[in-house]
Formats: sequence, structure tokens, C-alpha cells
Amino acid sequence: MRIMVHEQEREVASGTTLADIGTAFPGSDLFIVNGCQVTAAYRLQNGDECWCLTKGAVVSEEELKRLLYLRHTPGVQKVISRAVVGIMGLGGLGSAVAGALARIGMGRLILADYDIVDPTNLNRQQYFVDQIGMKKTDALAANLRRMNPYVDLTLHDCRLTAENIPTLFAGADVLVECFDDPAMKAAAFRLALTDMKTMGYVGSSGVAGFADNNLITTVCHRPYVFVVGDGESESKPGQGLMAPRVGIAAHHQANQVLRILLEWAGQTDGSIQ
Amino acid sequence: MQIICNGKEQEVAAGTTLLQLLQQLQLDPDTVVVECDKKIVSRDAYEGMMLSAGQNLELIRFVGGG
Repeated sequence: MRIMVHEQEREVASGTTLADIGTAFPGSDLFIVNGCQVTAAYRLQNGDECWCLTKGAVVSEEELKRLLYLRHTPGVQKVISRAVVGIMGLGGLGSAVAGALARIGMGRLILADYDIVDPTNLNRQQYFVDQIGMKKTDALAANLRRMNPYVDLTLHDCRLTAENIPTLFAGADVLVECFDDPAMKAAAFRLALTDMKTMGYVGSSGVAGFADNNLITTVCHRPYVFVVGDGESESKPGQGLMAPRVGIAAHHQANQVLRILLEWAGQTDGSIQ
Repeated sequence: MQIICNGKEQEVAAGTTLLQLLQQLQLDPDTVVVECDKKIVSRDAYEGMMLSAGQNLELIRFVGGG
């Protein structure tokens, strides 16, 4: 049968295990088949794509590029690496959405925020103490590049308005609304339903406090237009924004971006709506 | 007169504007996206838009925090 070993085609006998293949890679102790970690005892099947790696080994830039996405189902990465995603607001939601999308190797991220990192942000936003006072755009760009040096970033250090959003995010496939201000949330959603109809959209409403995890939902309002949250939990005295629940919502948003992109590419079961 | 608001029949006084309806519902108009008979209403039009009987309104409200 034919398998792929480190992207090279190889003919092997049926019954061959990864341990047999691994002998050609001294010290290998991390085995990946078709995007999933398996043990050395794994019995190979026709068409498998396998990798025999050494945990923690320093690798070349070329190899790093490949290994970053090795856990993704083949085919998915092509879609991700060509996509452009805009993120409006780089607070608790936006900084976490950006991290998730950078880690999976999104082709380009357009990031916009007017603010600087403040100590009160750190209970939920993906910045560090030594970044206090930095522009959020610059601080987040630095952090994302440490996660994945190959993501193309476009930064807008400015206050977004209904007027400048269509220009600043032109070319985005999907737009993610991560504002704090409910009036801006409404204004951006209105744009998504009128002037920016060709883009996918993932908004947010109701992410504060520590209410039930499962009240956070992803609701479809129009084809490829979604809003994440419980719709009720606003940020107010006595109900602050905290990393756990904001993080749940942010990752709903990031996964929905991925689902929209993969649906467009015909890689999902079509159940997105 | 009656309108439909988020799928439910609602009685409003003749001459009520969209802005007045939102105020009656205790909603901050800046945080609500309004669809009237399947068309999105621009924020600038809330004040001058007189409601008429039978209109179908969808109100989508956003709360702060992110």
C-alpha cells in the first residue's frame, strides 16, 4: 500500500506500524497521522499521511511552517491560509479571537483598535504586564508574531466609525465585531446587513459576568451573519468582564469564522445555517 | 393601531415614531438595529419614521461588553 511519510510517497507492506517507519527517524517520539497524534503501535492504512517527530526539537523555518499546521485536517489549511479576517476592537474578545486565528495560520488579519493597554485590561485581554502603555495594535501584533511568525498583519490604530469601517476592512472575507460599546456593535451589525453584505460577519452581545457557560450561543441572523453571546449579560457595575466567559464567547466567534470559511470552500457538511 | 414587533402583535398609538416606540420599550435607540418589513432602517431615520398599522418590526438589541 501507498502512504506519505514527511510528504514523500512510500510503498509499504500491509501491517506496517509507525514504529517500523520511525526507525528511519532516530529519537522520534511524537507521531502524527492525518492530523491526529497516535502511538507508535498505530497500524498504517493505505493513503495515510504520517510524520515521525522529536518532541521539543529545534527545527528549521521551513519545517516549522509545515509543523505549525500538522494537526489540521488536510485541505483545511489551504482555505485558512488564503483567507482575510478583520477584527474590530482588540479587547477581551478581539485579542483572543486574533490569537486563535493566528495560531491556525489565517492568511491575513486586519486588526483595529484606538486604545492602549491598561492594567485593568489584563484580567481578560491577551496582553502582558510589560506591555502596559503600548498601543493595543502594536502589543497584539508582537504577541501574535510570537505565536505564529507567518501571519500577515494589517494594523489600524484608530477609532472605528460606521463611515471608516467599509474602507479599513475592504478585502476581508469575514469581519468579527469585538467592540465594547453597544452603539458601535449595533452600527457595525447594521453595516453587515446593508453596505457590507458580501462579507461574513460574526458579532457579539452579552458576554459579561460568570453566568452559565451554555447560555452563550452563536445565533444566525442572515446567511453568514452571526451574533455570539447570551444577548443579556451586559458589562455594568456588579457584572464585569472576566477572562473565562469572554474567552468562551471569543472562541465561539473564532470557530464561527473558521466554519464560514470552510463552508464557502465546501469543506463542511453544510449545516452552518 | 397594531404592529408586529419581534413576532408579537403590539398596540401603539397612531402617530408614534420609531424612536418613541424604542423609548417606550426602554431601549437605547443607539444600541438597537431595526428591520421594518425586511428593510434595515438607518439610525438617522428613527426620529422621523412614523409607524403605520400592520408594519412588521424586528428589533435586534446589543448590550455592552467585549
